[in-house]
Amino acid sequence: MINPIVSQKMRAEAGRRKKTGKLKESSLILHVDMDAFFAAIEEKDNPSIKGKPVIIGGPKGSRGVVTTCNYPARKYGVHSGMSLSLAGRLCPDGIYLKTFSGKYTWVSLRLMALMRRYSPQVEPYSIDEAFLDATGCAQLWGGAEEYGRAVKNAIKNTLNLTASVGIGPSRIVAKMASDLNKPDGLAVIEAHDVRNVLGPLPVEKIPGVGESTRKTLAGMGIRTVAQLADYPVKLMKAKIGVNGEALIKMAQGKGGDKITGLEERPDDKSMGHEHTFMTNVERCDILHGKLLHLCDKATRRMRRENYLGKVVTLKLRTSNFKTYSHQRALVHQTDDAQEIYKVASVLLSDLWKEGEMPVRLIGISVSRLFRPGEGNGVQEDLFYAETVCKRLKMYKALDSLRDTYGEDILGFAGGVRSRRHGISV
Amino acid sequence: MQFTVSQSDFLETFSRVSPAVPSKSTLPILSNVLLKLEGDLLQLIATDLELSVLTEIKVSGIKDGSIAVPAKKVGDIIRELEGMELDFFLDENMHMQIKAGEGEYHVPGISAQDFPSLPEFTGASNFSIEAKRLKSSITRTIFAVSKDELRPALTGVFFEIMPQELKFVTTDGHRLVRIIDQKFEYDGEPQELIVPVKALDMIQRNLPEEGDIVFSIGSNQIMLKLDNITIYSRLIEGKYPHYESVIPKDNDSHLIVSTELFTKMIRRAQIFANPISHQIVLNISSNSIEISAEDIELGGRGSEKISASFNGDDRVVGYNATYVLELMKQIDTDELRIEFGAEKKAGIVRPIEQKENEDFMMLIMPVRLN
Repeated sequence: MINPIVSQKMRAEAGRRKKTGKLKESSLILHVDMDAFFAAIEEKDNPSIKGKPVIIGGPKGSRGVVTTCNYPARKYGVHSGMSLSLAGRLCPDGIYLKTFSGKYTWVSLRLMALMRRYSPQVEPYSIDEAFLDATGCAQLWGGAEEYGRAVKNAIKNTLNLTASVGIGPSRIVAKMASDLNKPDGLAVIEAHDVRNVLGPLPVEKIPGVGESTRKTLAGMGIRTVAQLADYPVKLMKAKIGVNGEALIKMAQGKGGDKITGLEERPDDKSMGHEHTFMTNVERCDILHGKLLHLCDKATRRMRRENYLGKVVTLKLRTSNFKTYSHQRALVHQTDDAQEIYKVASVLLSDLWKEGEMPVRLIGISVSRLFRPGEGNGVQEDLFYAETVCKRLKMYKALDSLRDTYGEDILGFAGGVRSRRHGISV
Repeated sequence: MQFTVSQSDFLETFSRVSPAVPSKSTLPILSNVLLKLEGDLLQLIATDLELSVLTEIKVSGIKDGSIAVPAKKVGDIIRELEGMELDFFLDENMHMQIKAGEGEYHVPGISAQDFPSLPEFTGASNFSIEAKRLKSSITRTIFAVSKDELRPALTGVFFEIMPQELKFVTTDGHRLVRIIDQKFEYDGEPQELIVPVKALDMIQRNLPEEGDIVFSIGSNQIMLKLDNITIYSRLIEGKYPHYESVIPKDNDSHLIVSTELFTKMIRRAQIFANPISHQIVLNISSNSIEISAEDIELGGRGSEKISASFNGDDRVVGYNATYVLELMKQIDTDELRIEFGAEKKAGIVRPIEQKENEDFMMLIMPVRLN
């Protein structure tokens, strides 16, 4: 654990920078990216599969895509986003596992909590990536490289997982740096070195440049990051539109030097989850089970962020890709999964009946969020005061169990049962 | 079908039935009003299948017949023909022609056979109540009815009919209103009914100033024959919650305050309350009450103090200002009394003096202060 005095120093430093507003000159960003995150967690939990090709996403050859695979599997040409049927042909002897999202979320939460010990400003970027404001922090560790190593070691020692870390003067440089020496890599790119290090890389190494942008750029004779960085902005805008300028800036390593910590995030407008079924669903009980599970997930997040919600929206996509959405206001603001589900299930029964077009996707979201606090209390109910009190205790226990043992330790019976029917959450 | 009638008479009668027409319905026929002419008597019927109303008007009948006409279109055009004599004529294409002066308007009608028939009513029992008392009880209770369709029993007014008293109860879970009318006589078996708000609205609109009203109770429906309208309504099925159990029995701390000052003070404080929770805080001591509100997110704060008398220990309690103000509107005495008990339990609000033969009380649940 980090020395509390050091932590205090970091906060003081961050506070000082906030006041003076000086971030531009010396800003330093650290990007941490876990190596084959889902697969690594599975390997850690079951050492007998370590070193073998592990592919996460679902059973071999089933519908769906690879969410992650470990490095031995990548040698067979398997990569994330690839269909499981193709992966099955490329790597027939691989170990195929279902996506166990609750477990990964749990590890992710621990990772983010750990990162907050190393910087006062941490911005979770995805389940296995985060940006840290390293400005000022790095020198406390004796330099950027030492700081990066300390972060990596902490992850290794605490979570028994490896991460690749990149440090640079902007978010984009840090992110590209973390990709340089994967897995278990560490790369520091100083401001004056950005062009030397990143310039020769192919343009598709820039985050967000996919196959179609790569082809467009190739058509313009641009293949490397340096070529893109030197391209005239006006010409680029004329050719590919407004995004052209942003693209060139990214190639120049200019891409955000501000880290938005959780406390600075604007208030959420809504919270929700949706689920695409592995096979289209024609049964009401499966939909209701999944709906309960989604309400549980959404309200878990609401409770974590101290929100109560007033409006429930149900989204349904049928097998012909038509999307329907219905909403209804709650009489009381709540973060109670069962209350939200009660309304959501009425919406579902209004919207869909057995015998109608099979359902491909179901989603729930809760909006008109409100944070109880001073000047903003929760209205008590005449008839449900005792029920509400009991429920509060139950959710408190449920949340604390999940915080300690992971999301899947306990759930609603109906919601747990529904998980057999799909995986991609 | 053909008849002549004055615009004012027709509009007055038509406006009596049209509120029963549903604003939205899956059955298009329900957006119509049925017109039925026999001799000089024209019947108008509207229904949403839960509530049905029938009224009659004398016209100069020329040819009998019946037709359902769209309520909105007919209502709209009649309103615009002020002071004119109207000639109604149903042509062979089922179009109702309305002639007024030089104007001629054609409204497509639907066969009367497609219009739902009035419910068969077999009255099992009935009770009567003074129109004035009924009106006042409906007005003072209906505002607290719940809009939560997931708790259907709470969306109506609960009538508890006993030999010597009639109780009216409404609640939305945050407030509860109970009026016991003790000037009541009934010699049948005790009964409990949950009457939908829409029916009570319709009844209230058509109640005469004087006289008694007879409620006929059938199987799962009620019927009222008023001077110029007959109202049928289904009752809400389901069990009304055991409301007596939530009325506190030991609220021994009494606050007495001027109704007008208290109301005005809350109205001013409400301006500064959070727009979602409308939370106000009452700081009550033995001889004064301070009301304050603060919107932490948007800023702004207001507080005010008035004298009041309180016999309990000093206390701080939070309420939704909108709810309190609605309660205040129902009180017509100069002062009011709020009875407090345990923290987090309901406060009881009463007028300082009860009307003769009546017990009127309202409950309000507090807001959990953080």
